[in-house]
Amino acid sequence: MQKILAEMADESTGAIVFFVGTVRNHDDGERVLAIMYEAYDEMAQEILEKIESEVMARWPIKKFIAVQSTGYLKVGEISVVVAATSPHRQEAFDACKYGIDTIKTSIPVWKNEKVESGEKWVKGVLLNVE
Amino acid sequence: MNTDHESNKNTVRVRLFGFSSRVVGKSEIKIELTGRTSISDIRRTLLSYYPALMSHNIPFVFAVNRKVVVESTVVTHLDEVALLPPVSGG
Repeated sequence: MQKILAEMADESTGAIVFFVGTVRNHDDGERVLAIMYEAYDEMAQEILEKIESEVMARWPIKKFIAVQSTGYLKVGEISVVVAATSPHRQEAFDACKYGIDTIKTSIPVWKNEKVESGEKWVKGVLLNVE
Repeated sequence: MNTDHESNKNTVRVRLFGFSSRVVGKSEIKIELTGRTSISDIRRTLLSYYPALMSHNIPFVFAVNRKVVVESTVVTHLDEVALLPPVSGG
């Protein structure tokens, strides 16, 4: 997080917006103990870069970062960070919202929740043909 | 299905993610190519060897070289195929 904040600093911008996603302690009425995030790394990276290009083309954003954690994460740990910096705040908010909304439906990452009754795969959405 | 010592040109690498790697017990397998092999053929072959992929009632699509494709897409031994269950990133 500190590293991302340092990267986002820019004298020409007046706004830095962060979205930080963390592991929640409940899902679908059950207590969650931890989540294993599995990723198709090479494809996920390509899609994150594509999202970044889309954001930069659509809004006057100076810098945009999207990072997805993978591996075993405990409740409260950071799973995803999306950050944008721009001259004014509106575009930074819009870019971050677009970033996280798109990440949730388009990157090849799968959550396996460790719950009290065992483990279960989060339902998710099927990726569309490109 | 084939074993590792058979010719590489006759097989395509299929990476497995999410529930599918648990069902198969591996993170990738090799599927034999016979004539023009499509993703639809690969799906059929996988389900015939691992029918438990169906019993989970979890749908999946395929990517070829990191792009999601239609089932009629033909693959060669040079392609990387991946089975992608519904995603839940973020």
